Amino acid sequence: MPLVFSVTNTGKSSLTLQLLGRTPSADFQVSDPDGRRVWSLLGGNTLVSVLQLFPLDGGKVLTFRQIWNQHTDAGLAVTPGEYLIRGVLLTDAPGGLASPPAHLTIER
Amino acid sequence: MSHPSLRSLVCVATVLALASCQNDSNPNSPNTGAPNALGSQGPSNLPSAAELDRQVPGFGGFFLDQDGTPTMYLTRGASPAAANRVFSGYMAARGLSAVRVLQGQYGWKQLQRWQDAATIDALAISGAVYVDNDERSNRVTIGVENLAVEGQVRAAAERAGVPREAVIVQRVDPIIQVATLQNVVDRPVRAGVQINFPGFLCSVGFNATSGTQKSFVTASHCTTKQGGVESTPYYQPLQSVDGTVIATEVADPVYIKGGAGCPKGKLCRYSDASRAAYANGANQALGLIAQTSGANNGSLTITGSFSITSDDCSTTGGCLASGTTVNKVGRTTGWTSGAITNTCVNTGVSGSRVVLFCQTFVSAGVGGGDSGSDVFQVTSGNNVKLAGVLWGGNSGGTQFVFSPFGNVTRELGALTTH
Repeated sequence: MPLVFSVTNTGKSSLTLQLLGRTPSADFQVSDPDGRRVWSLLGGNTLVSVLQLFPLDGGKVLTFRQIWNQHTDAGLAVTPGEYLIRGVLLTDAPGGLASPPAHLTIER
Repeated sequence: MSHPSLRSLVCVATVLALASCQNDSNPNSPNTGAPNALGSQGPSNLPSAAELDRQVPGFGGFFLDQDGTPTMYLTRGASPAAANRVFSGYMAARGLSAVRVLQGQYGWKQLQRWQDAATIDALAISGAVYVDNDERSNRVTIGVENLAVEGQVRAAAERAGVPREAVIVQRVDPIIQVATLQNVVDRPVRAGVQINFPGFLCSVGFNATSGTQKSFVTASHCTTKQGGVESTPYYQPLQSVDGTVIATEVADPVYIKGGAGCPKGKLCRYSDASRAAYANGANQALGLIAQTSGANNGSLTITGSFSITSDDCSTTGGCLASGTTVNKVGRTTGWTSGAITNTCVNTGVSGSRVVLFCQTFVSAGVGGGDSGSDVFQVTSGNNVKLAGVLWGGNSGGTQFVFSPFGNVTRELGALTTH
């Protein structure tokens, strides 16, 4: 399943973001309706802890794309049901900057 | 199990804009809004002093008393009717009947003019702290560190045209800018404070002398190019705050491809560490690590220093056992502390071809910008044993990874740290 996470500067002036890593990084996180994590793109990875000063001009969009193979962190296929998907921009803030969740139903 | 029905694109998005965040209750959004000037005392829609001056004849100042009752200075003869009208909704919501009125001597606008006039001369005097149009006293209040300068500031106010009886001089504590790991211009430079190289932020690892060269150690990826020397310039805390280059990269061994134990297609080293030589040797605070108010409390305010009094062993992988409590001080998450969970871990770095041999994992907080931080063990009081250089962590910010001191000296050579 293709996933797209976009971060938009809706203002008119440029913002300098402080983003984790040598290149901008985002996590994709899938959870069940109770908030239990099912899958995370970066779960278990070790990331360098440098901060990039990343200017994002007014009206510009930073986009991340990823494929989720509908497996859990443990590598098992997920069961049918409701899921929530968030994109998380990794910044200097704890937890990063998360999108509102997108709702997803896996039917079979 | 297959899911043939799932072919659609899932899109999630977030927006960034300073203005849009001010009333945002989403805890994941950055809080950039200004605090409510009235704090918890009242709603943000109470009128400003300038607005009250326009609406209330004889207005001399306004504040909420300790019970939350609107209290207003009115000059002699002024009617409270306008004041009660302005605050009718606010008072009705709180079961109050009328604005509390105090006899004022001066109008607010007059006091504002006097404040502006007195500021120029009074704040030029050493020891003067502030000049205020004080809404609680209906006077111009001048704060001074020491009453020995009271005569000077009163004279200055009089020269500015402010009547002597309209001025209150009071002793106050000086206002000190809080120095944090992120904003301090730290000279000499201690470990743990922010450094800036073009386009990026990291932390000073530890000060070290190599031969006679005064230097600091930070992460290898806190250089223009990870591996190899490109003479990366460093500023502290930011180039935009102090444009003087404090140090230049002088050592960052290249990552080896195909060496012993290095996986195919990977680039390997024993430490993610580099060394930068100070432009001015006097800027090196050898053996000192900036200290905040406590471990794991989130504070970035510098309250003192740790002193390095010993180093971990020079053995690859270090000599600190799993379960040992270690600490780090870095510009993003400050002083964090936790137990070593894994030692001598061969570690692949996410998003790169880099593999680091024999690294140490710690269950403690970390965030972007902490790269390069000093890692140490507290031995007694503020005395510490240097353990290594932090370079990474997990995406949840709950586990950091560091290169042990022995790995650092294996690649950068012998270093004097205290």
